[in-house]
Amino acid sequence: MSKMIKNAIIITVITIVAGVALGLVYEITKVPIANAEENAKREAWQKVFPKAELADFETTEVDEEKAKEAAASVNANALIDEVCTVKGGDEGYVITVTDKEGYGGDVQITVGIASDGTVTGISFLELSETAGLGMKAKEPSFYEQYANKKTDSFYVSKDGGEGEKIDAISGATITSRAVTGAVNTALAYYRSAF
Amino acid sequence: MKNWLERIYNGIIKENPTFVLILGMCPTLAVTTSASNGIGMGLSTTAVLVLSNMLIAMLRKIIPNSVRIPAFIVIVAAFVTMVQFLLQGFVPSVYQSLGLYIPLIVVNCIILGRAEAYAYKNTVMMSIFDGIGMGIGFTLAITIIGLIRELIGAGQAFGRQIIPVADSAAGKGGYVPVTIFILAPGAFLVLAFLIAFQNYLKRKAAKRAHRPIPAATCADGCAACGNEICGKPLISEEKTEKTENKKEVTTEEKSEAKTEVKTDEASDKEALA
Repeated sequence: MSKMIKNAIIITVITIVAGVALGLVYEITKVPIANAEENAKREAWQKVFPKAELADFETTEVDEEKAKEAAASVNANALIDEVCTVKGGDEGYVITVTDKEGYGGDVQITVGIASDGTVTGISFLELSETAGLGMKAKEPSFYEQYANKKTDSFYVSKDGGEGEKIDAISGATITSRAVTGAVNTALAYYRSAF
Repeated sequence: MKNWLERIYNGIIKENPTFVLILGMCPTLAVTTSASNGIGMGLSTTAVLVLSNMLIAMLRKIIPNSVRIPAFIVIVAAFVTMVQFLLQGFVPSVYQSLGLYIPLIVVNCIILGRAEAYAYKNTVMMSIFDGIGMGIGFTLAITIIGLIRELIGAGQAFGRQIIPVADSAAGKGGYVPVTIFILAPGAFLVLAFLIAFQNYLKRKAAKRAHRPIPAATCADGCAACGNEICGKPLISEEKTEKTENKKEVTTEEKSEAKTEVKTDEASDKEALA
């Protein structure tokens, strides 16, 4: 019995020490992690809205109701994560969307929409698709298909639909659909909220 | 060969975790879609392996035999989470591409395997070198697998286009990537061919030395064999290690009191050595 207690004490001590060490490392890395994420986000904003200055971007609140409706209206399993105005909305908006239907996990992209409804560009924040297939979404030949188009929705070439056609990445239709779904959600949210 | 050098040689060649021990297959098969993923995963695993081997060797007299597995897992998980935080904060690009597989290092059987088979029974320094050797062996193995898969499957190496790829839309001729090598079956194919190739080299070396293939003479003990690729004195060490391992397992099933005695004996032996 005493042995059992001794073992329990030893394992408890190990766990506590491990927990304290983890807490320390977390404290140390908290700021760099936040900075890295902030930088990635800012870079993405700048990329989808090359005309605007960094100071022009301002985060606004997301209307959850409208976000849900927007995703439902385009049949996408997507969430609006963040909405930014560019010069208070005069120039346009930057919307960050996560689509849950990626092949290797969530697909998080940032979509820039000018005030007249033109998609100015898209950029990836999170993409964990198959290298050489779905990862090709990061190549300009794919993502530039969305840029500078004024439409209500995009559709993937294989599926057909209304709006602008997007040529799917060969061998990665699911990824193409996820990205298109995210862009469509952003567009739908833009139409209903602004 | 010096002891610590032997540990590194053991990890890279003789007991390469991927090609010889066939351990840690989850990351080996899953993240090797590109060579740079292989390096990232390999180095993260090496860091965790060295740290956990070191700490477990330090605590080997303190951790009770009956609760050693939970203790190992707590230590490994703590290190993995630390590595994850560090990657996320300082090298976000690596963190991005490895994603889910970083937390999965916790259940990588190479790490738990080395803790159980080596670090729990050996000195701190030797355990660190064992971790370095095994880590480098793992890194090399998955980088090679990643490189081959990337090259055949996409015509790239480390993310750079090496072979110009055909583009039917633009009417450009060139290499048509064999997509299956990027997908899951490609991982199994490449791994199988590499293991086969390695076995072929081993057999050839054994024949060239005009010595019988190890399996035939191993029963007579290693001194009688004298096969170079077997690594004369090394294998005997390895053998005692394994038999000790077996003893531990059997005693574990018996009463706990006996286990105490056995571990004491084991540490006595170690002190003598």
